[in-house]
Amino acid sequence: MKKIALLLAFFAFGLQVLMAQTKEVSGKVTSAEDGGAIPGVSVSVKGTTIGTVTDMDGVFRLKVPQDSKTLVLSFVGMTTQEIDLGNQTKINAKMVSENISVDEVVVTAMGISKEKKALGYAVENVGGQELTQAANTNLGTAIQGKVSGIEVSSSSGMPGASTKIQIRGARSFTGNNAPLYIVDGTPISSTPDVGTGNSVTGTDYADRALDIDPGDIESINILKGQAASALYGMRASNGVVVITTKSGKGAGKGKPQLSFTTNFAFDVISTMPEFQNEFAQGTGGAYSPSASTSWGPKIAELANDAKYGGNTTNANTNRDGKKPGMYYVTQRAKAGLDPWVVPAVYDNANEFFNTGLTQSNAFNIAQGFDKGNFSLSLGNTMSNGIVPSTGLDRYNAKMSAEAQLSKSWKVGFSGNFVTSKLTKQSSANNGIVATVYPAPPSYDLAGIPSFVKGDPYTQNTYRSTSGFDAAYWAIDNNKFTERSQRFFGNAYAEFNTNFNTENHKLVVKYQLGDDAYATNYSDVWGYGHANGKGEVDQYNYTINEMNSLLTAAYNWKVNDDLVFDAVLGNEWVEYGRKYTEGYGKDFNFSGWNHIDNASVYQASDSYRTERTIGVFGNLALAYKSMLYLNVTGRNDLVSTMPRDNRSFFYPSVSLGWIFTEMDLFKNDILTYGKLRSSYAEVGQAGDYYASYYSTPVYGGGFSSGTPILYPINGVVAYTPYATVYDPSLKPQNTVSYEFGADLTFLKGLVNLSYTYSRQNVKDQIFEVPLASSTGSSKLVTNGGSIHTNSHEVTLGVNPIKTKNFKWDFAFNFSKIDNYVDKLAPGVNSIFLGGFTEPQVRAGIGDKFPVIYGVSYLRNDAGQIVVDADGMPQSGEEKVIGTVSPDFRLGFNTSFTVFKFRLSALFDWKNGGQMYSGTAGLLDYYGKSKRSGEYRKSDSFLFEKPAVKVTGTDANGKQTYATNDIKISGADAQTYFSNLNNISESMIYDNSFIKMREISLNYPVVDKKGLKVNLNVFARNIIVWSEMKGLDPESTQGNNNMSGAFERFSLPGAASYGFGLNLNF
Amino acid sequence: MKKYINITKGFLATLALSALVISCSEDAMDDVNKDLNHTQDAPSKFIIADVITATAFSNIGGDINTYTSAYVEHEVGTDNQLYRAEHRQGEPSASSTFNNVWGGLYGTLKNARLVIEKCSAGGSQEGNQITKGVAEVLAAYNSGIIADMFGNTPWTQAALPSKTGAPTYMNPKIDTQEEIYKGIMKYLDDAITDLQGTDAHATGPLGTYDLLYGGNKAKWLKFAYGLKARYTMHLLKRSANAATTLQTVIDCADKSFKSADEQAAFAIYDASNLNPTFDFQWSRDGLAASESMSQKLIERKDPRLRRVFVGADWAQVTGADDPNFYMAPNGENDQVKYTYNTSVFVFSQTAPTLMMSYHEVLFLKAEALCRLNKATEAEAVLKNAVVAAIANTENSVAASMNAPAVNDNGGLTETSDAISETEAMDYFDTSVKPLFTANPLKETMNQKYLAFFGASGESTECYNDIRRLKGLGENLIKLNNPNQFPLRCPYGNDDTTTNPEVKTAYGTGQYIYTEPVWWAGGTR
Repeated sequence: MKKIALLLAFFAFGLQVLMAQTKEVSGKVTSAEDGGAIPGVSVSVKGTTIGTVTDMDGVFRLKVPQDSKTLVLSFVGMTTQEIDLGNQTKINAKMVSENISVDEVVVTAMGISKEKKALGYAVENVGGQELTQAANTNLGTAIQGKVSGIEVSSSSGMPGASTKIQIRGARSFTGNNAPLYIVDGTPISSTPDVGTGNSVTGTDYADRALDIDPGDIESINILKGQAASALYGMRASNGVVVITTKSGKGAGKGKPQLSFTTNFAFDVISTMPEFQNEFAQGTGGAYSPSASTSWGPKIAELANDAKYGGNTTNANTNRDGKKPGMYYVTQRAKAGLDPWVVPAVYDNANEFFNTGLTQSNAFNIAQGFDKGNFSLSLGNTMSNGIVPSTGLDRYNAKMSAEAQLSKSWKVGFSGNFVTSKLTKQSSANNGIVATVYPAPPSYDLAGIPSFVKGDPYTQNTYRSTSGFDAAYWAIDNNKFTERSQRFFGNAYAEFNTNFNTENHKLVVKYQLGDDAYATNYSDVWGYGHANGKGEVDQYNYTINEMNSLLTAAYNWKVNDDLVFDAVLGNEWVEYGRKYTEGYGKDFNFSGWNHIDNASVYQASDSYRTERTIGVFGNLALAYKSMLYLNVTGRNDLVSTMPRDNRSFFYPSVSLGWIFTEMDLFKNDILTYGKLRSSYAEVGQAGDYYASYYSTPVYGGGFSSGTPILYPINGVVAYTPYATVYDPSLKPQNTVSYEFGADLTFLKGLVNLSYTYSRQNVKDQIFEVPLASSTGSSKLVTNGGSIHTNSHEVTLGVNPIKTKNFKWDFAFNFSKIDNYVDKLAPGVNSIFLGGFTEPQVRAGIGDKFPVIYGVSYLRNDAGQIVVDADGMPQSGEEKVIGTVSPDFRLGFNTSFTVFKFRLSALFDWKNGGQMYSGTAGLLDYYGKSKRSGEYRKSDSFLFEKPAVKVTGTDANGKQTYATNDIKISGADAQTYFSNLNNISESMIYDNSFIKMREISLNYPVVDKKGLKVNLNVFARNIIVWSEMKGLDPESTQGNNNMSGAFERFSLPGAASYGFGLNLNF
Repeated sequence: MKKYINITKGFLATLALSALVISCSEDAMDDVNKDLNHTQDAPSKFIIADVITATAFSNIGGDINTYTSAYVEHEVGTDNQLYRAEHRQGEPSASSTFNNVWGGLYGTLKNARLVIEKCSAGGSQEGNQITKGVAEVLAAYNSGIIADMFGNTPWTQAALPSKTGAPTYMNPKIDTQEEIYKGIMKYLDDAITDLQGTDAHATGPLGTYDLLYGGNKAKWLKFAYGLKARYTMHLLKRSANAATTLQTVIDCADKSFKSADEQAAFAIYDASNLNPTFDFQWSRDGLAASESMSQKLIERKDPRLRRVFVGADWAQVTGADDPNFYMAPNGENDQVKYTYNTSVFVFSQTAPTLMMSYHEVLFLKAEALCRLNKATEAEAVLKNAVVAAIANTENSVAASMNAPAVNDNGGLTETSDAISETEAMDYFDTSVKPLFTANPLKETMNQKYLAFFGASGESTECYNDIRRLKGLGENLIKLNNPNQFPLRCPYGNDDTTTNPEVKTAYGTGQYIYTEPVWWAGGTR
């Protein structure tokens, strides 16, 4: 925040050096509270335009006319001070902070800086330090818990794991709900190139926000409501994340300022399910060497097994002789090891995961000149994940500079280059965890080679590998990589004039931005995958987005009470996406998993261009620093809509009223109070094509493969594609209202802010299922509506503020309720992901989204009905869980004791449910501790309140009594097998409290010219959740189903680390 | 200062103007949004290729044939969906059961109509009369399946090609089966005219894109006449003058196939493109051998008995005295796989789908002659029909014995010799003739019933025969399944959930047990 003020001050004063009869005045400005230097304070001679700003050390040096009398020191958030100059040439001043929230300046839409008090809507700011206090290298998760009204769903603790950021709920069922990212004035892509689809197999795909290095961020402004983002038009209907990176604007003149930050972090698995360690692989109490389950005999009894025991007479002992106390392990024999071993218990899951290591470095050099500044940043992150073979290497470079060519002309540029390589592993149903967690405790997963002796391509593990690759084999043979190169940045020229008047000002700026990247994906399933010959898929996206932006801002101070602002602008966005894919399968021979070794090939290619042209305007009136009215309008013309339906206009209006400016409300308790309200409309365009032809594809239904494949005898067919496009498609429209208040008590001791917003989204664009008697199956049209109510509260308290001890804390609370109001006629639900059952979907009248699947059999009174054995039964398919939480609460606090600063961040999610296939399957496999305990017990009752059938009454209706039918421990396998058929049994409340971040910072050296800070931190080390042993945030999917569904998902990670920051 | 303002003005004006002129016009935007990755149009032959494939593989040989093979007791449903269908639980009346083929039929009909539109006056391929005729035959065929299976159902407003692709009618209205049949006859009459023309348009004739006949218009013409015979016979109950109707059947049959070489056999199946009956069983293992079918063969001492059943060990069952002879009792079987015998046809990976067979044409003529009391004439035709049918059976048996996927897994064991033409003729003389003499129509229909048992996708037409006979009050074919007989297929759930008129007509779906289709005496 200070740095933005600094930037402004710099513009105002920094570059105007008057040559006259002068003397030099110098000094240092420090804070009255903590004695720390304040950089960026504007120092000027009263009544003149002569001035400068303090440097990073709070030091200023200014040539002033001999006859100067008074120096004015001003800084946003501090009380302006006038100092009588007299004959002094050395001035050391202390500044007192004033009510921070009052004059805070924020960057709003289109880079327009405004005082926060002038806004009629809510925006929220996260500073660079706050963002990186725990050295998180992933921007998405670094924001978690720090802002209200925003939901961040992370997918796992893997390096580069996708995160979904959603501001104030969803506006689209199946489309994009991600906010627009603006980095230094240029919109950049933040969403994944590739969606995870149903999200039940394969790997995760990184989102492109991964390319932003949090270490280079100066501050983030989040424009939450549509009124705040209206100037950006269509693309901003999901809110905007405005990122300002470090630049030379804050650097003082003179010698360059260098900073270097390095962090090391160790990652461990955040939580592990509890496993039983008594029972061996097998089923029905008998040992079975290829069973996927652990319902075998006691491990200690394996030597007595009739077929494999060394104590008994069987085929194996007949051949090898008796092996007392040992048993025969077929997989050891296949791997060429001595097959006879003493039964033992193996901690397979813990042995599998690595300790991850993340190292990140950031270097920045910045310098200010008389007529400009520059900044150069270099950063890298090298990370090895807790799952072997996963990792991320990322290199960032950025250069920005600015030059004042003349009094009226300024030019500048900013350019980022990022290259990254991400290695991943498969997740979900048949992913890598699916053969780690369920591995029987009797099986030595790490010790027995995962392939047969002499043939590294034939798998060897405890279970069949037709659908599930052996975990250790998979990390050696299946490779999933994403390589990306990206440039984004902009160049601009700015002209300003005051028309030689005191009260008019015009700034015209033209900026040309570009975001260009290429991402190369490679999925290799090695020779031997699923007992087959492997396959390889190489696919590449090359994307370029050019952004031309012209703005003219006019400011007119009509009189002392009235200020008029106007902005007019034009934005032109040109987007191109090239996709190429080469697919090969069935490698000719093993050992070379390369597309050139494939025996079957397929290739595909596509190119898509899009253009958006927007014209926008903004009118603002400010009256007596008390009433602020803002009106915006934007017209977008988009190529991706049908002809004659491409032009759309969206208005917004907002009003802020600082009632404490009125004498009537002036008091010492409520020192600042503002009421604000806004109304806005903004749309989202569809992705319209002219309906097209394609080659028909056969399969599905009863077919297990592809029964018919073109070309047939050299003939290829083309027929109209079953999904057709509505030529009268119109944009979906979001109407939003927002009301809120910002209150400051006791001059900043307590800051409270509340916002209520309501969004009504209608005419949602999606693929509406058709009556197929039309001859087509889906129509891309406007077909649904959804509404959101959201409440956001932030409360900041600074109870202690002394020189050597400071304590502050803040809460941010969000309650976001998203409801589906309407779907196109005949559409009852929309599939978002998952299996045929269970799945994640949107349904009319339900909160968005819900989990749908097989429920417990219930009677008319809604009670679960058990069968004669006391076992629960499968009922109808219905909504079995709601995903969205009741509320989220972030809590952050920091203590400063002398020079030690301790910060902590907690995040509480209350309510909401998810499907956890892992928990259910570990019971089903007999691997969970719970399954072992049930098995050992004499008997147990089905856990949920239930009833049993007692007979029928006179009307033939069934009668019920409370369930008291005990299930024998010996029937535990049947019990969990029954539960496994009932998806509702795997629905868990996933409320959680996480200590997301804790860090301790100490400035070891704090001298002029050298500052050294030491930092110790930890992330996600305390997780409390109702889902025992699983990270409630490790879920499937990088799309709208994320956060709802889990089934052998890759686990979450906890990190411990330390860092060093040097400034000189 | 002024200079700067002027520069600024000029800069802004130029930019604004150029932006407007160059980039904002609808034409410019259309250009940007142009879909380079797909074609928005294709010549008719590329469409016809799939109209033929979809009609044969999906609509004739697909799910309808699989379910009706259980209804008519050619096979017995023994697992999951087919088991429930066998036991008349859920599946026969559920709107999800036939939804895939429902969508497939209408999609195919739309594509056939699209070709007709392209090749008609004013269309983009005006002058391609043969192509148009082929499309008309296929439009008639798909309309026939739609009308026969669903009765009153969307047709005139359904499956219409549209310029933009978006449906002209979002919720097509229901037409009567009678209306649809008028349309079918019109399509066939138009086809008969068009198929005598030429393909004059520059895009040329169908050639190899005609996956059925390789562009042979004479064969298409015979196919059109064959279908006309079939659909005319369907309407017998509704005919004002039965004798005329039957004579039309005979006349059309006479203009149709002269040998099995001319029949409408979709014969592209191989190791990777699969016969649909094979595809079903290879994927699902849902069918077992039908007890009632074996009884009819045993009763007739039919040589096919030794050829058409296979044990769980994949060895051909030699007959009722084979120790492995284990038929699934119709409607009373257990839900179990790999236990009962199966028909040999579920292994016929490469057997063609017969869109219309030579033997069907002969059976139609024989039936008409029987009904016209010309038994002597009928007997000769029937004999040819039976011999042709047995030849087709042997063709499918051979396909099973040589099925690439089956052979990769060990293959079937053939335990008996193929039935020669001589043996077939002997069979007719010794076993069929006495039964024919006793009741010509009954034996004709039973022989047709036996002929349609196979891998050729003819159970659907058998289902039509059985319903047609029931409608005429003639219970000539004995079925064993004690459960109620489904009289039709329910509408697909893509429409029962979105199209209000269809939703109302569907109700609970139980009408499929109570209401025959219009040509079988019903009202809807």
